Order: sequence, then structure tokens, then C-alpha cells
Amino acid sequence: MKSCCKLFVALLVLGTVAGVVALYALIQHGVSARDEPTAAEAFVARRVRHFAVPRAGRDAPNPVPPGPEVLARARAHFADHCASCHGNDGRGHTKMGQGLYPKAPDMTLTETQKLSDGEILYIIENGVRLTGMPAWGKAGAHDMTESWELVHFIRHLPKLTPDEIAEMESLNPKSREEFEEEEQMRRFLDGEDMKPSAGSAGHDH
Amino acid sequence: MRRAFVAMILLGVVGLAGRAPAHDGHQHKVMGKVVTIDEKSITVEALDAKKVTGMLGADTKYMRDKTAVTRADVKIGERVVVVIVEEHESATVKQVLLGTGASPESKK
Repeated sequence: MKSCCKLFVALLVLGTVAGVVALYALIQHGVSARDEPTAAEAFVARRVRHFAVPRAGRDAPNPVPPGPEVLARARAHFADHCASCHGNDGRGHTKMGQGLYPKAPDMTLTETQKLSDGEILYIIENGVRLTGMPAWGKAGAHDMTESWELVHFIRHLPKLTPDEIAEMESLNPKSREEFEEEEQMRRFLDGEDMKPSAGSAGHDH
Repeated sequence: MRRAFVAMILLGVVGLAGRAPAHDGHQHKVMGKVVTIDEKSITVEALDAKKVTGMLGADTKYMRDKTAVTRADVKIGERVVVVIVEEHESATVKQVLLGTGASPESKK
């Protein structure tokens, strides 16, 4: 009982300190998502995420056999659903991906590639709290074939070819402005004379 | 439950302990003609006559229509659209899109 009381006091003190630090940081930085997480924060967040995935899910093998058709379907799926934040090449160099806190990761790198197939699936299906990653899985749904196919595609990201990226670009959702911008670039590259104001075709912030 | 509580507090404390400035990640698409190109960089004269330079690298992709080409296929005076990503105060060329029309030499 005594040790329980000590633990409660320790947690209360720790919580108060955390609250003061949080308040100070809030006053100093606001709630801007422009900052980058510190290395320590990223480290702790990855550990917490690792332990948050149930062991059974973490160790689950991919039941979908790999193959060109599977990759083609997943490529199209990724281009339509994921590329807005992650980019077609999975490096996260997009307007939205760079505006998130934490920023969309470069999934070609070890930090993502070393995750187990089950962990990647869990993240796709359940999302990650306090990040921009939504849960794509439906509650109670049992067919996760599309997500398992995406796991194969994420494994393939480091070997993605320019031809595959070009194909994905044609499948990305486009706004009217983006469509017009592409049309303008195509006409310019085909040799059509353009006005000087069109010198910079696009400027994505 | 207790472990989760401690983890959340730890995450909050560590996360708010220090900040690093964000990088830009801005992406520009510049339409223009190639002025110079070498192993390291490409300079393009945009339609407003401004010269824009970006750094080339191993990750730079060169495309003519939907076909992958190489840096050697980019000719001086050729129409290009250069996709530049600004990060950490440097301008890196992500993609060089080449014209599908006649090359500048053949137009003369």
C-alpha cells in the first residue's frame, strides 16, 4: 500500500513536470506542425509503436503470394490512396507529407523496411495515433488482401523504376489546378509557345 | 495500463524537450530551356528569362514522355520542365521532363 502511494506521488510529480514543460513549449512554439520531432521523441515513439502492435499481429506472415499482378494492383492502390502524403516513390516529399507532424517518413529507408510484414499491415489497417496516418481498415473487416498487397508494394519501394513512377503519376488523384498545370507543361514540351507568366508551372508549398 | 500511462508521459516530456527547425520541402516546376548541364547541376532559363539552377544527383529522374532517359539525352537549348525540391537550403532536381517535339537542333 505504501509503495503504491509512493508510485502515485511519483507519477503525480512526473505528470506535473510534463505539464509544465508542455505548457512552456506550447507558449514558445504554439501547436505548429512545422517543427521536426527530436531524435529522442522519434526513438521513443518508434518503441511505443512497436509495443503497441500485438505480438500475434507483429509476427503474422503475408498470406498473399508476391507477383507482378499483385504489385500492379498495389501500385495503383498506393497511387490513389497513399501517394498524396507518401509520394509515389514512398519518400514523403509531398506538400501534405512534409506538413505533417511527424513528417511522412521515407519508407525506402531501414526504419520502415526493417518492420515486419505484420507491423506494416497493422499500421495500414489501424493507423497511428497523433500522426497523420489514418486507419484504412474497417472495423470488423476480415478481408485484408488489399492491405497485404500494399505490404508487398512497400517492400518494393526501394527498387521502384522510373517507368513505374510515371505510371503511378497518371493514376494520382488530381485537382483542377493540377490537371491544368500538367496540360500546360505538356503543351510547352510539345513545342507550343507559352507566355512568360507561365515560366514557373507549379509551386507547391 | 500503468505502462501505457508512463509511456505517454515519457513521450510528452521527451518530445517537448527540444526542437529542430523544419526543412522546407517546397517543390517547384520550372518550364524553360536548358542553358547548362553537367554532372552536378542544370541551369534552365525560364520563360520569364530568369535563370534557375538545381543540383543533379543519383536520384534525379530523366523522362521523355513516359520513357526513362539519361542525363546524356538532355541537350543545351532543349525545352524541359524541371521539378526542383527545396530542402535544407539546397535546390535538388527531382525530375527533368524532356520535350517530345522536335529537338532544338532539328528545328533550325
